Amino acid sequence: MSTENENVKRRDFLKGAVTGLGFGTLATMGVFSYSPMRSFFLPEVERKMTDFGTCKSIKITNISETSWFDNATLMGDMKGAGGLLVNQYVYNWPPFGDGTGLAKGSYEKGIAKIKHLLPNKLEEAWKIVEANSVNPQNAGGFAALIEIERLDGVKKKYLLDSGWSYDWMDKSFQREGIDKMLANGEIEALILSHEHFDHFFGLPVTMKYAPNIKIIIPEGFYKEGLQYIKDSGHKGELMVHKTGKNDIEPGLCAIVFDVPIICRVFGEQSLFANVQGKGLVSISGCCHQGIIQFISTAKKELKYDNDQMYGMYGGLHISPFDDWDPKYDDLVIGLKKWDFKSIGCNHCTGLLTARKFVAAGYPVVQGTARNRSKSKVYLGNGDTITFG
Amino acid sequence: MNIETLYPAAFNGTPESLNAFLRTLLIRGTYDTILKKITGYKGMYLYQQSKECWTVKFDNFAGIFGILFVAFHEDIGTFHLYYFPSPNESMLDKFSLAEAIMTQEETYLEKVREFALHPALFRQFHIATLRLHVSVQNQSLWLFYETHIRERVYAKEGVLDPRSEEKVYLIEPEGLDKDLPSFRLLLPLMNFLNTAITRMSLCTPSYFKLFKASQASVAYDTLGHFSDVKDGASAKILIALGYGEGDFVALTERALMGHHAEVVHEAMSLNCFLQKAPWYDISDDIKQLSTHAFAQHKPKFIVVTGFLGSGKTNFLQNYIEYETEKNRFVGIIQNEIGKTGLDGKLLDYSYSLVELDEGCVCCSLAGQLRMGVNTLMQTITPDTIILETTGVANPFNLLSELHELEDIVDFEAIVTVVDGVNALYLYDEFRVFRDQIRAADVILLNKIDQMSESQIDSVKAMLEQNNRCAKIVTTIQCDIHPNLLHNSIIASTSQIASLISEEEKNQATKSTHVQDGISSIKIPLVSFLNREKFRVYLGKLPKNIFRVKGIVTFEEDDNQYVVQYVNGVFELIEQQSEQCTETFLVYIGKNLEKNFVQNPCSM
Repeated sequence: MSTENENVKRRDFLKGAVTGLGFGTLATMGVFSYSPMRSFFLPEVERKMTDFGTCKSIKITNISETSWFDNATLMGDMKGAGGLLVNQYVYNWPPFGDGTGLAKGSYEKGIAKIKHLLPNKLEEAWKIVEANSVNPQNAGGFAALIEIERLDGVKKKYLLDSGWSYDWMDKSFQREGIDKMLANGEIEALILSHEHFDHFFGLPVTMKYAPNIKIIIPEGFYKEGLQYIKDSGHKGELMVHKTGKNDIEPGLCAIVFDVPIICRVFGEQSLFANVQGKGLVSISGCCHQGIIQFISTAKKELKYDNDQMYGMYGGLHISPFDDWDPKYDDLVIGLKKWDFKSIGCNHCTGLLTARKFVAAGYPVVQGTARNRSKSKVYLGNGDTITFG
Repeated sequence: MNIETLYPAAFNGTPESLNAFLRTLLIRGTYDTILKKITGYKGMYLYQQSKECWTVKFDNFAGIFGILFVAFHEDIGTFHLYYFPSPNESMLDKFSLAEAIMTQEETYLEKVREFALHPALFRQFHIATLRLHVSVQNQSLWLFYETHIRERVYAKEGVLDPRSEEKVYLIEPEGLDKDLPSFRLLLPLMNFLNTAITRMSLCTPSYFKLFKASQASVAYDTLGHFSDVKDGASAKILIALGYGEGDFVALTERALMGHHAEVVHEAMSLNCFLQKAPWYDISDDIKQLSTHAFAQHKPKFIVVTGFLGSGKTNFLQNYIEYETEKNRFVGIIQNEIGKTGLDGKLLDYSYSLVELDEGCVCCSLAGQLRMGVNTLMQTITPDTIILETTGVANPFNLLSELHELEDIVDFEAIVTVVDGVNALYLYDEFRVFRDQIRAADVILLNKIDQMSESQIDSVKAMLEQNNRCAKIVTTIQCDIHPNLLHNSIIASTSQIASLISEEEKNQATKSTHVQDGISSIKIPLVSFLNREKFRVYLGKLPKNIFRVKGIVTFEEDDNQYVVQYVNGVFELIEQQSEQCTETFLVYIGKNLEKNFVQNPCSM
C-alpha cells in the first residue's frame, strides 16, 4: 500500500476524530503514544502572596509623559543608527552629543563637553547639547510624582524617573512645583524605572535641586549609566534593586523584571501599592515586560486587599515583543478578567490602544490634553490621578 | 567572547539565570529586523505564569516551535525543543496518530501557548534537546543539540479504523505510525539561536563538531508494549558548538556518554551544509552581520486601494499604531485627489509622508513612485512603505510600475478596503470600484457593524465572484493586525505577474477616474458654521456628491471638527490632535461643477 493512500485515510480519520475521540479511544484502537523522554519535573510556581503592608491612598501627578515630541524623528534616528539594538549612548542624542553626528557618539566624548556644568548650570549645558546633539528639540521626558498616604495619615513623596531634555524637564518640574519639593527635601527618593534615555538622561535636573537624594535603580544598568549618575553630581545613596520584589515602604514595593529592552537597555522596575480597602495599584514607566507579565507577576508575588487589581498608571506596553499569533492581539480584551477599577495611561501606551480601552468599557481616567500631551484619552502632562 | 553582550545582567550560574539567558536571546531577537530577515524568525510568546515556556514561529513553517527548560545538572541546563504542527499542514502526516489527534482539538493552539501546563503536549511533539553551558569565568558558551534524522515509531499489528465495520487499516501492520524528520524541523530554531549569538556577540564559534550515532526505532503492539526495531533511517545527530575559550571537549564528551557516536568529518556533506550557515561563516567580515547591514534592507511595500470613504485612513491609522507599538516604522506615499493632504491631518501619529503631486497616482505616475520610495529610504529607512492611492485610483494601472520597483522594495500586497454598506451600489456604478476588488490580494470588508448578516453575505458573494484569489477579512473601522495581512499574501508576487499579463490583454478597456467623470472641489471656509444648519445641508447634498471631507468650526464652540460624509451618511468628530489653521471642505463626486456646490457659509 502506498504511503500517499495511507495519508489520505489518516486525514479523513482525523477530520472525523474531531468529534470527540479521546485518548481512551486511542488505546482501544491499539494506538499508543511513545514518548522518548524520561519523566522530568517541572516546578510549579506558587503564589507567594507576600504581605508588603498597606497604605491609605496614592496620588500620582504626571509631570511629563511626552518622552519625545515627534515619533517619526525618533524612529528615523533609530533606523539611521542601525536598528533597535544599538546602544543608546552612541546615538549622539542629547545630552551626550559630541558634534560628530548620528550613531558616531559615545558616553565619554559626550559627557566631556558638559560635565563641568552639571548639575547647576543646566541652561548653559543645554546650549552646548543643542549645538552638538542629534535632534535635541525632539527630546521630552517621562517623570511622575507619587504621593503615598500612610495609614496614620502621614504623606510621603517619591519621584519616578527624571525625563530626558534638561530644558523641558526643568520647565515641567517648575510647572508642577517639583523643583521646590526637591529643594525642601520633601521627596524621599528618586526611583528610576529603567535606563532608557527618556526616563534617565534628564537626571541632572533632579540633581540640580537635590544632589543628596537617594536614587533607586533596578539591576542591569550599564557602566555608562552608573557613571552618569556620578557625573550628574549625585552625592546621596545609590540603591540597586535585585530582580524580583523589593520593599520601599509599607504598602509600596518595586518588582524588577529582567527583561531586555530596545536601545541596549536591560531590566525595568515597576511599582506596586496596596491601597487599604481597595486593592493593588500598579505604576509603570513603560512596562517593557508587557502588561500580562506585569499583572500576573504581581498576582503571584504580592498580597493585597480584596485580592483586587484596583488601578494602573503609566506607559503600558501591551506586548513589547512580536507575538507569533496576530489574533492574540486581543490582550486588550483579555485585560477584562482582572476587572480594574481605574486606569490612567499615557506615554508609550499608544493612542489607539487607549481608545480601545475606552471602547472596551475600561474605567480610563481622562486627561485634559494640556502642556503638549496629545489626547484626552491620555492622562496628560500636569494631570493627576488618585487611588483610594 | 563577551557574555555581557548576550546577557547584560549578572549571570550567576543558577538555573534561573540560565533560563533567563536563553529567554533574553529570544526576546532581543524580536527587536532585530536583520536577524529576523536572515533567520525567518517571526516572533515569540512568553508564557510565564505558574510555569514558564516559550513559543516561537518561523517563516515557511506553519506550526509553532516550543522551548522548555526541563533540567539543570552540573552547571548544564537542558531545554526540550518542540514542534507543534498546524492542525492542517502536511507535516501532520509525519507525526504519530496520537499527536495528530491532539492537534484537532479546538483549543489546541491556545494550549500550545502555555504548553508547559499540558503534559500531553510537552511529552509529545519533541524534536530535539538543547544543552547549554555558560561560563562567566571563561567568558565562554557551549551549546549541544541532540536530534534524530528521522524519529520512527512502528505499529506492529497495524491500526484499524474504529469507524469501519470491515477491516480497514489506518496504519498497515508493521507500518509507520510516526516518521518525523526531527533534524529538519530543528534547523530553523538552531539556525536562529546560533545566528543570534553570533550576531549579538560578534563572535563566530571557536568549536564546532558534528556526530552521528545509531539509534533503534520503536515499535508497539496492541497491548502497548514498546520494543526496539533496527532501522537504518533512524540515526541520531549531535551537534556541539562552542563560543570563546572554554573546555568544550570535556563538555562534549560528557554529553556524548552513553552514545556510540562517531564524528562526521568536515568534508562530509552534512557538515559542509552546516558550515554554510550564517552563524558559522567567518570568511565574511563579521561586521556584515552587525547592525550596518541595514543599508541593504528592503522595506515591505503595500498598496492600499479602496473607494472614497471606504476606510483607508482608518486602515493606515491602525497599521501605523500596531507597527509603532512594535518599534517598527512605516513610511507613507500618499496622493489625494485635489492635493489637500487632509488625511495627513486626520492621523494622530506623526509618520513620514511623501505626497505625490498632481492628482492621482494611477494617471500620472511614471517615475514618481520610485522617487517617492527613494526619498523615504534616504530620510528614514522605514520597515514598511504604504502607498495610499486615491479613492478613485485603478490599481491595474499601477501593476507594471510596481513590478519595476522590485529591486528596491519587497512587494507584499494590494489591500483593497471595501465600504460594505455601499458596496453593491458602488459595484453597479463604478468600473474603478470593480477593478479595485479584482486587483486585491487582501480585501477588507469594512463597516460590518453597520450591516445585517444577509447584507454581509451578499457583499461577500459579490467579492468572491470577482476575486477568487484574495483573502477576504471582515473589519470594523478597519481594525486588523498587520500580521494577518502578511500571512495571507505569500502568493502575491505570482498573482501580480498573472494580473499584469491579464492587464496587457485588456489595454484597450483600461478605466481611470477621468473616464468615470469623478473630480473634486475644495472650498475654503471663511466663517463659523451653524451646527444645525450644516447638518441639514449635509443631509440634502445631491447624490452625485458621494464624499465630503474637511475641517470645520461651529459658532460658540472652540473645538474644530472633522467632517466625514459618505453617500448620505456623515459624522462630525471633535479634533483631538493639533488644531489646523485652515478650515475647508473637499467635495468629491461625479460630474461636479464648481458653481453647483453650495458653499455652506452662504447658508
